[in-house]
Amino acid sequence: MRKFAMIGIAFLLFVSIAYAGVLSYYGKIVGNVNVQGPIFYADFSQNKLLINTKPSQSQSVSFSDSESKFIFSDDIGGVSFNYKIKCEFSLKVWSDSENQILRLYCRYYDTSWHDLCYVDVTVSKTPTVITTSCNSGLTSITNVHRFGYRFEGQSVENVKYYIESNSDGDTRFQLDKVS
Amino acid sequence: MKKLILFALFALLIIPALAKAQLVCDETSYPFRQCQVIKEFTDVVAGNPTEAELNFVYKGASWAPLVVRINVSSQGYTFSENDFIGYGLLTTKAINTPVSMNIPLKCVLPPVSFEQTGDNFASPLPNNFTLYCYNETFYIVMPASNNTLKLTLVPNVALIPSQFNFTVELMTDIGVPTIEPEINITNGFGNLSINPPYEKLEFYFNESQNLTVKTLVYSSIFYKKVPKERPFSLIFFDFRNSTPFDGTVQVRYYFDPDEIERNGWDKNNIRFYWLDESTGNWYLVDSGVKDNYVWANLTHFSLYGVFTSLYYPPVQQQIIYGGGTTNYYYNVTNVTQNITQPVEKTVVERYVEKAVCGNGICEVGESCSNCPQDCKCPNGYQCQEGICLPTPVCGNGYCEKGETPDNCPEDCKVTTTTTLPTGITGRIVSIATNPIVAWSIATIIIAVALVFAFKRKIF
Repeated sequence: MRKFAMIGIAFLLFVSIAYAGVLSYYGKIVGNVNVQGPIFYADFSQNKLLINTKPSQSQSVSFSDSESKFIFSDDIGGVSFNYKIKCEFSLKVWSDSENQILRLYCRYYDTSWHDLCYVDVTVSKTPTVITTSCNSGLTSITNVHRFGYRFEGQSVENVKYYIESNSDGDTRFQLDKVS
Repeated sequence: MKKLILFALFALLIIPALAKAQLVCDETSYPFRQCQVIKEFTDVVAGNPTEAELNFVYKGASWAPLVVRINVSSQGYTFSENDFIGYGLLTTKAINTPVSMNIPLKCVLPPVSFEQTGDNFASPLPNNFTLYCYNETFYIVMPASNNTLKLTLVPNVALIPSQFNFTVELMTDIGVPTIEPEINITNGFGNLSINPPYEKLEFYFNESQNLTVKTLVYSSIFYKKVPKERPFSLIFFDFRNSTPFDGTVQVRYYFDPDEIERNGWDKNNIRFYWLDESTGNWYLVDSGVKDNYVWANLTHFSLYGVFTSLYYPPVQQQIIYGGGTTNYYYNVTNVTQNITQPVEKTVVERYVEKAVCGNGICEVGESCSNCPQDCKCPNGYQCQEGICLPTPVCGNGYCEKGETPDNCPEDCKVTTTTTLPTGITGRIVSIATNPIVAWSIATIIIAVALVFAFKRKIF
């Protein structure tokens, strides 16, 4: 209740200071909105990360343990993220043998590519949607043009990894702030 | 006990529905009424748009300006200028004619000035983000219209994930100014010619000083409230944009005696009132009538209205209302500021309830066709079937009455669609709540539940 009272007082202060002329308000609506961090969806059919848009079709890719798969977004114009970023990964993944390690990278591009953070996941032979997250140590990143999602095989055996992007948006990562 | 649990569950289900955010309109005053929220801003992913949709009715007879102020705040959040972008679309439809317009609104950050009204909105407070949404045409709400306003906000993709509090205000002018002069006061005196040969305004400051008084003069305003004892307005002066002055000033408004007589108003009962915006009421100013002017001693600049009552000749009259007849006696020589109260109240209430043509207020039931003196169309507009419509200007982007695809193809395309930035469909999750309504309803339901429980001796 105190919070609401404080918001009310702040609003009244705002109104009293901003008002300077003859326009008066005759209708008012108040409400709350939660804004979440952007979501970057993998779309292997276009070989890119879509910002806040799920792919329209399914497409899977494969790569071996010695390879990696990297996709990135369009240019978002050089914006600054003034918070400590947490990358919340999701991916639909499987491999041709059990318990294989796959490393997920959350990356950004300013004038070159940087890793925000990475995390390892264990992959089975059954297609599974895995979720995990990692935290960046940076308190802010500036002049960001693109975000990237990198999948890197960590197995020492000869293993093939499969990742699917689909219209459910199973393969993605979302930015959040580290609480 | 089972009933109580069921009741509590039911209450939990209905509280959020009842407590949805509502658009509150000041129903006692013009111009915007019957406000409804069709769609609220909802939870959103940064970079995606969130939309709100509102309906309101405007019953005035002149085109009204609309400025929408959107204020965003969040505890402990420091905003930057790119945190949100916004835009809007006003669909204004005439109530009685098949005329409709889609008018796009652009949203800008303050400081912003509106030369049409003289408003100058400064930067918001720290930790607040404010947008002013308007159209360059400014007067965009059609007379006697149903209106739908769609507002879209797009949080910057880099916005720090948080909860934000939104306030959306529909703002409009108090009226359409007749003139907007600046009056130069030299050695404590200044004057303004309003409508020769009679109407003028004079300033007599008690201290010799030089200053400039910025004035907006209105013949009528949208504001519906009037002083009950003097419900007929002559003119309005808005001095709120003027700098404060030293001492006191006597303002004299020379009225048109012919207009007073023509309207059946009481010349001796004309007085100045000032509008207290915090209460929305008019308050009598120290004022009186001498010859053909009304004087008022002012100590500050504000929004002033000049009001009077009807003139009653000193003879027996019959006022007929309802099904009966009542005799009242008047003596005009006794008419002062405290004119006979019981009579005055009865008469005033009768007139306030009904539209009175000629009282300077464009009321429900009046239009520019049946009462042009109250509902006159502003410059550039013409009265058509009771609505002030803009004089058609081919090439202004609006397919106006009188324009067709043949005589003005650039305005009247066969398929008219308003192009707005399209966004990605966002996730719609939450319900914005009105804490006061929610608190009230929850208290009532808890009280009922407790009474029920005690009656059943559950505790």
